[in-house]
Amino acid sequence: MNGARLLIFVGALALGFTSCKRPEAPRRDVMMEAIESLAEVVDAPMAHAKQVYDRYCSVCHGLEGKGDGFNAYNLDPKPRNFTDSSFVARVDSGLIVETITKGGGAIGLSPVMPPWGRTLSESDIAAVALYVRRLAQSRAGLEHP
Amino acid sequence: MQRAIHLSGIVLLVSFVTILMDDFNQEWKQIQTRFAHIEENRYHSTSESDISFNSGIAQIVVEGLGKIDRCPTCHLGVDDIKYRNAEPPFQTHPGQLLETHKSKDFGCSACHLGQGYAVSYDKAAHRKLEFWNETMWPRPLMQASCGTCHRSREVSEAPLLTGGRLLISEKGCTGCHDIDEFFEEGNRGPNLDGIGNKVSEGWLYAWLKNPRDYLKASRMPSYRLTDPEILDIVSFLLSLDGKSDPPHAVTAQSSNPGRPDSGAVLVSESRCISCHTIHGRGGRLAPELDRIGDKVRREWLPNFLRNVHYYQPEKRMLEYNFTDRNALDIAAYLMDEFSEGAYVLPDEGDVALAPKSLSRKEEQLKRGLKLFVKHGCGGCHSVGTQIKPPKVGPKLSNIGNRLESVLDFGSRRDIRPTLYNWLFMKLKQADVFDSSAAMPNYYLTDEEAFEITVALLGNKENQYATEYLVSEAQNSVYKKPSGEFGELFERYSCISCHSIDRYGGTLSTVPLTMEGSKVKFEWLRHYLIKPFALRPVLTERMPRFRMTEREASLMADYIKRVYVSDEIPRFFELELKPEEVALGRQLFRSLECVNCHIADGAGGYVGPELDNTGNRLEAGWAFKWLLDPLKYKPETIHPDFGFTELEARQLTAYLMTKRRDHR
Repeated sequence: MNGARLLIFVGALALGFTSCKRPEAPRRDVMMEAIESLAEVVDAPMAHAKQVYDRYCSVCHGLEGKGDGFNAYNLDPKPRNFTDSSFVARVDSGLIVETITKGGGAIGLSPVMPPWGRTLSESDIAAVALYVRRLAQSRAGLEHP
Repeated sequence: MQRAIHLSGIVLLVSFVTILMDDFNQEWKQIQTRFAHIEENRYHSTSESDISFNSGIAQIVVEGLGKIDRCPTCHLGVDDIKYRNAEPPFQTHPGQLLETHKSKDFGCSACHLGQGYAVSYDKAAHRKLEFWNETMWPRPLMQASCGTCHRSREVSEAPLLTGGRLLISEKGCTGCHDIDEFFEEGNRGPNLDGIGNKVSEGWLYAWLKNPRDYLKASRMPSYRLTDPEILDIVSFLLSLDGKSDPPHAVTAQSSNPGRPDSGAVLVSESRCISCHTIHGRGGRLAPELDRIGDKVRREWLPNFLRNVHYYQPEKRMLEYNFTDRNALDIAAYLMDEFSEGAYVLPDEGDVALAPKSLSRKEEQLKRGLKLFVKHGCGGCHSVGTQIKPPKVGPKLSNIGNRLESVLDFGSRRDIRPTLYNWLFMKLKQADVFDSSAAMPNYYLTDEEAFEITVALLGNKENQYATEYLVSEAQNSVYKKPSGEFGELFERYSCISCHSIDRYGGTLSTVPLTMEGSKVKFEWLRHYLIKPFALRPVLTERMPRFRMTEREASLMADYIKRVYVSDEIPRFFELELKPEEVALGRQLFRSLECVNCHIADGAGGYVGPELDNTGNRLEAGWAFKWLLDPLKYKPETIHPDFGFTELEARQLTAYLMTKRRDHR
């Protein structure tokens, strides 16, 4: 008799446990996880700036801003290396915008850098200037910890 | 009784006070009080009453979009640049978008979604809530909203949306799904009539099994077919009759089997690599050729090379002026060099393809046809003269309105059930939720699947009044040229690479719209006969068509007469004065044009070499180009130096003196 009661008790206990579901695991946001590594694509203004930079600037300054574009060999003085730490420390966005807009010749540097003020819009130039700074900071940060 | 009345009185009083307190403590009122005290307002105002906003609920009503947005109740600085560094929610709207989409005309929730009518953070649905479709977009998906109104393939300010739409077109989604009229175009895949004369059964089997085994960048997706299914389809495809008597039939004879070495020379000379990839190098316009020898039949290739447009009228490939001998040589070279071993049918495959009785064969063909129809092959491939079959996939023009509560995630309980996750995962792997799904696998990268998802999410029908919709610009006035020029233009497939009035290919950097006003007749005639690289760094070069003298003269003449612009002065060269040359040379040196162009034998490879400009360009074109390069070629990277007319004249005069004797 006692044995039967014990059996019922244990059975009820087991039933109780099964109904205590584990709390559900948090649901995954699959797409958001997948695009985390695509920051440059997702950040629309930066992606646009990169497009403009790659198209107009990388020919001489290189895709990574190291001053090593395919046309660099032909130029004297050599194109600016944006990842040079002295450049990052010295130059502000205003000057970058001015250089891009008016060209090197107009601000006392070499005329090898042409003026882009009549080719690119003001907002494109501002975006590229920001991109150049970001390029400079991130790459310089990597190379000079 | 009295007690009850007392008690209810107290309850009433308490609830009245609670309601008052609640109203007084409303989120938006607290936020407006906070706004009065932010830095930007403290400096500009002396007393609290001086602050320049109307307290209370603010709302924007946009009838055409069906929106009543109360967002400005809390987002008090969106329109005012003064608040660009203010703390949230008061900061200025980032970017320049509000310049063209004024908040009073467009409101907020048409782009951001969410519940514009609500005035608390939670009720306005700032965050994604499960099964609630109209919650605000997470930032990466914002561009989906652009797509709801902008019904054109390219939307310049929305690169993700544009990327997605271009992918939809490139991957051929419209073969099975109705998406939008601006995606509609001809068949994505080749016509399949006579496919058995073209390729081997072994290749056909391997291709249907997994197209990417043969072609890494294949546009054809993988259909997850079983071996018997594949053999049924192969049998059906082999039964399709094709054209069999080309105008220039070529047959290999024992005396002339084709010489691979001269084939190799022809392949390199014809610049096949401009469009085809060979050993990892070359263009992407046409299929890779690395294993072409394992794919096509030896008898078919020379015939195709001689009769490209006869076999495939839709083909964008040009028809070279090859002789029979040329075609045999090229075929010999490709068949021998571009092979890694023939494709073979699986065990018993050949037995299965040739059933003993006629009735069995008929059944097999029927099964093959049924599979062909079921999988919607006709969406991309035409067969016979049949009209376009109905599309087998669901319409996607309203997919953005699909309720999240009806999405089928199969047994996947670990996924956040949002529309974007559902689309993204299905795009990545079509059978992820349902192993019997009809959609094939496309092997998209995360980036590709994400961009297509963004493009699809904005597809909402009847959402907004028509005056808000921006359709594809009618910017093409292209008409197929007619007459003998038209025939040549077609045979050499000029429009596959060059564009005219923004219609056509983009492989060439030279649109033909004003080519007649740009280059000189003699130069053009020579160039057509024997093209050379003006920009040696480009892989894509003009192929050598083996054009005859007569053809070249005819084409050059037509281009000089028809593809012209009235704005380019015709006899400008005669107006230039000799003394302008020296000044032009000075200017040319001080601007250091050689940084990008080759002149006097040295310089950069960014722009075209200039040592033969006097023979190549019309002076009027050079003059106009220097004044405003972007006008004549919007995609140019030539900087606009802002020359005066005098400077442009001087430079032109100098450039016109640069001539080489030959050509």
